Amino acid sequence: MLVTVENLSKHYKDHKAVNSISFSIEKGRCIALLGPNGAGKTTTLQMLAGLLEPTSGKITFAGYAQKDYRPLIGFLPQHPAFFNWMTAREFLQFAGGLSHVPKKKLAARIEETLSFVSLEEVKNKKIGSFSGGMKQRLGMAQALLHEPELLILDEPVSALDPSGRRDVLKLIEQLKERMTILFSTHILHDAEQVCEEILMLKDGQLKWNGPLESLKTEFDTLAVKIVTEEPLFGVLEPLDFIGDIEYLDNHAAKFRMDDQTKVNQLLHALLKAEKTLLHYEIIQDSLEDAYMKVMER
Amino acid sequence: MDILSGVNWALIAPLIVLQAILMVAALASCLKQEETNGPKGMWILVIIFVNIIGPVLYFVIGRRSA
Amino acid sequence: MKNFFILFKKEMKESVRNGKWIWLPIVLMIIGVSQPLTSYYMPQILEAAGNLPEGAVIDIPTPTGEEVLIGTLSQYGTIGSLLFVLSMMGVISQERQNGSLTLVMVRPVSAMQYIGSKFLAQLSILFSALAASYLLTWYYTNLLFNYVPWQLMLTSFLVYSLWIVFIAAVTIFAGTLLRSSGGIAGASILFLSLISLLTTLLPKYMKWSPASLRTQASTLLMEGPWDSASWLVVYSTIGLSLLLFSLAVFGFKRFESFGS
Repeated sequence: MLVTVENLSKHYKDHKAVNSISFSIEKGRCIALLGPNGAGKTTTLQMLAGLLEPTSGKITFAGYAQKDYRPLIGFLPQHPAFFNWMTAREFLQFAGGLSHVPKKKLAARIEETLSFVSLEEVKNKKIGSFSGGMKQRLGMAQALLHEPELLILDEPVSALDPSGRRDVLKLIEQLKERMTILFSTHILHDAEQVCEEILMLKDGQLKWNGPLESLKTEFDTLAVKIVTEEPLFGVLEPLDFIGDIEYLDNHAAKFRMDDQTKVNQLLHALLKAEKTLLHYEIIQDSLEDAYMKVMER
Repeated sequence: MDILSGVNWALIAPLIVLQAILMVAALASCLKQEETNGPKGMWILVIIFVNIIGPVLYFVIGRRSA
Repeated sequence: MKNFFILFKKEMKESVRNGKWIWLPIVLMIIGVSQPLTSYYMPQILEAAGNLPEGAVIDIPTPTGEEVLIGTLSQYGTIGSLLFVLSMMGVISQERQNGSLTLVMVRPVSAMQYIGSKFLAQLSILFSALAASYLLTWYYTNLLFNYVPWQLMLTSFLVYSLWIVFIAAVTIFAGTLLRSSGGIAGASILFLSLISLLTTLLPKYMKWSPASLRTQASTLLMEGPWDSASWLVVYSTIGLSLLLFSLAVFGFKRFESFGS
């Protein structure tokens, strides 16, 4: 276990931005913090990064006794802002120095990270002239420059165009092997692409956490769709193994069936009511559906 | 003219040079700056025509050093 | 300690790039030098103004070198103080507002290091600018009036420098309380004017006031050595500046968030 978070809360005067959440992060994992806008993602990440004092709760890094654990962290804010009068190289020199990277090593690390985020060619240009995507990549560079234990990225791709998005996701993919990554996003698809674990946050509360795969299995209730020749009303309602009936039109319905072995009983009921079955389909829930279910819980 | 001839220009010259340096420095900075706080043309005029205070105003509020 | 130097170096570099190292010394030199020059040419200036009655004899006693330096100090006290505050108003608020503070505070930087680097870096710029200006003014004064001993010049400068320390402490402290540069400048100037005004109005009760440093520097120039009251001002100014500095560090720590 790398980080343990216990009952972490942040309350402002009028609302509870983060309300007593607990989770832990294992070393080497890539975890997505998922949730709609305003769920408390940024607040949570800023508390983890040591930028925001929690109202209550505890954050502990395994095997690290000092209270100030900032040396272990690399952080990329949602809208990274730099000193625009510096060049990319100067900024990394400054940032690396503050993080106590030894001088000899720093020069090499700067070159390494600059080439990793493909900013080598503009390393001596003023940051003021950078585009949004370049700033995002420089932000990434400063976050991993000192080889932190935990890399925290706040909405690293949401402000980018599709190609910038792909670039950054690719970078995260490559970094996964070297460090533990926690990143926030409001887009499930991004999480699905690079992460195997998710934390779901809504209204400051932790709704669910665990591997993506088990989210799918846990909330995957099978749905069935049938179409009949004759109008369908009234046949399904009495059956006790069927729920959430949704009529698509007079002849078609979608419903939940907890037990697939009851198919025969369903057919039997249909026959008895003299309905001709035209179509029978089992609909698999998408991850998206599972996600929505958890969020609406 | 009597008054001007009584002035020792060797004394005044450094003051004029200082003002010139200030103006040139402000102009150079303003032209190099990609964005100023307000229209750039206005700042150039202010720097040139408002003695001393113009360049100072530019450095204090005209530069957008985000 | 290492982080303090890195931050200090960054402040210095920034002040070179944004022109503060040029405009502040030059403007102060212009302000300083103007004092002996206008005093010297005062008769001509009055004559040129021309609205004197016919036959009036202009009889202005030529000031002494010391008086000219006192006049310069008074210029520093008004326009100078204003410029000092303006030059420092944004040093914290700007980084806080545009979010670049986040990328500093996410690294192991303490409030003490951050505020300390700002305070000392700004102070060294102000100090250098003031020194350049005062030296040049002294040179002009010696040339146009009478020679003022360098010991007097130096001690009056050092005493006056404490006022600068106080201004810097006030502005930095205001910078940790307020968010907008304008507000910071306004609050600092208001506070400094208020304390100056009270010092002039109630000299009896305000002997400790940093605003009386200027009077002390003037007394020093006119009458030489000090009495114990002078030392009181020195100690109280140092004490007050340290207090404001500590409050600034404390206030900075209490920022709700270093994120934007």
